[in-house]
Amino acid sequence: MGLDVFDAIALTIHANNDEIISKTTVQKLIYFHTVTIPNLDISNYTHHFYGPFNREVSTALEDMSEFSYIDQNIISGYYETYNYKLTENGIKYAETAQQKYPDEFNIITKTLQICKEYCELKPTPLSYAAKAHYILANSSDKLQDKYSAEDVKTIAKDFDWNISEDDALTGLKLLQNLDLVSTT
Amino acid sequence: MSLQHSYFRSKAIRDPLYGFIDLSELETKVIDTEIFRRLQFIKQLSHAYVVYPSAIHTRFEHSLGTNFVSNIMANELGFTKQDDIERIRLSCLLHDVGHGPFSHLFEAIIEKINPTIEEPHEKISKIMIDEDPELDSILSSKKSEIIELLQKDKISYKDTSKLLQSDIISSGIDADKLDYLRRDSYHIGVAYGQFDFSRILHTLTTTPKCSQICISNKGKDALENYRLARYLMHVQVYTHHARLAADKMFLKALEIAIFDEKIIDESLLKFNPEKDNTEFLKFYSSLDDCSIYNKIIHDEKAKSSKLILNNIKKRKLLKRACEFTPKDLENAADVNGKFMKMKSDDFNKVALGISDSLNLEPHEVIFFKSTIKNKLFKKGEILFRVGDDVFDFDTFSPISGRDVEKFLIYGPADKEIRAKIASEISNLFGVDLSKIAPIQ
Repeated sequence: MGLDVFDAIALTIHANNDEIISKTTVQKLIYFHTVTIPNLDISNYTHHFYGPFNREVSTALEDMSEFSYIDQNIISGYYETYNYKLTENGIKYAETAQQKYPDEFNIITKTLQICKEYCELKPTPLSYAAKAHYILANSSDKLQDKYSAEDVKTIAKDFDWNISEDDALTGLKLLQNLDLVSTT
Repeated sequence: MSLQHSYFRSKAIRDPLYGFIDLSELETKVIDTEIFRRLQFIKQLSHAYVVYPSAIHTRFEHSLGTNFVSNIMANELGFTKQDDIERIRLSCLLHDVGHGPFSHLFEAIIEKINPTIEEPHEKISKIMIDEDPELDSILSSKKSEIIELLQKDKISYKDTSKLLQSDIISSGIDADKLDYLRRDSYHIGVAYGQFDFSRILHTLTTTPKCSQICISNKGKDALENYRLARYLMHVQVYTHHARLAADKMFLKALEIAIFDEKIIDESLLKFNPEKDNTEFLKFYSSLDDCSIYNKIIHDEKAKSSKLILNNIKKRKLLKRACEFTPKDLENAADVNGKFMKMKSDDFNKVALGISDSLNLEPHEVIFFKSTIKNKLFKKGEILFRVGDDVFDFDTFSPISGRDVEKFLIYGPADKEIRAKIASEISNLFGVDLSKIAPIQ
């Protein structure tokens, strides 16, 4: 048995000094983990109007907050943004999971570092990258090894996603840094 | 009168919500099949009648209602071809055909017997539509398209029309919920499930690529009303503590009847989506709310299962010993998340341990977690559109709804015994007895 969704969330927040801002950021980081960590035991991401989405992740975030492993606070603004901080129990939970899954924690930490360097974990670039990856993995128009930002922009329309060529490029560059695409 | 209009007006059936529900000749044949008529004997709200005596309406009239609502939705969303509308209507008509006795309760048993099959309820619906000879002779080539619409994840992302059709059957704003909230509310005599039905239908629209249902800006208040109605129906009706007691007692009786007393042959409830399921279908479609009670109660081998079912019939229900929320476990220092990850078998083990230590019958203590998933308040469940821009409704709404989770422990009517149960739970979970509020 591998990591479950709770472990993945706890380790992801733990890898960022026990705090992450934005529900979307958590969703997209776990999306990358599903690609990089073979024994991550969670259901597939599905198509959603805002990009690849996993209900299990969303429910687990709420559960972890209900069971006091995470402090979930709303940062006020025009759009509500959530701040997720591990509680004392949450940190202990994460440390236990880290001991159990040291290799996986290293992968999670590496992913976090790359994303942080690239965009400071801002949800929008992470979302472009997740969309681009989902498109390349699920499109019936096989692109083999050669694809451009324009290709991604065009196929995105089939998924009802409206992204510009620049957005696609932003996403593809991050995927390249993460070693999740070979060429652009 | 248009051709399409007359096609769907072969028969009219009276309905308390809509006046008349019109059916085509084909739909009339479908509702007269044995497996569809079975839905007349499966109550929509399981044991809610122990709290609301008139909660005895069935899956049958809800299925007809869903068919009716789907036609309005199809029109509002711009479907004009008769084939498309017929496919949507038939899929809605048949969306509940796979339900077993007491619906979701029987599903739990089916899941236990068929642990490797994901979403068994959906698979059973598919098998029924696909393999029932009577339905096959009526639907012939249409059945594969119906099955496709009922399994949204199988539809290609490029087939936007089918995706939109599928949204009418299952999505944040679907014909199913638009019917059952008002229908349940009407039948049991509560106002919680009421909302501005016409306004929602009138403000239905789609995403720019026409692949998903959206609501236009003018419908947003009606939408708040609708999702609040769903939440309140869950609090007041679907998860009412007495209804849950009867439901869980029934489930316990069923488990004993199948796994311990061997009254119902477990092998008859095994199925395989990839193989012939004639025997399974024959047995499964013979079951309904009444027949399952009778099958158990009148069997000579029945002991505990019979006692439990007779207790439900006499409304001698188990009562709450205590309840607590996950927040009450805050200081339990559960660093492995064991309480958060508890599954039904774990709850049963705790209940058995308590009944054993207090010298009670195993079926006299029931422990479970009741959850109201407020999914209509979640990101992405409902989209709304202003001009060409589509937004997540929840981003703009001032109302947010988190899930509601509660641990519930039931025991015999005797207050002293229930106090002892509460005390055991307090020790096991490391929470103050005063916090978990014993209920007298």
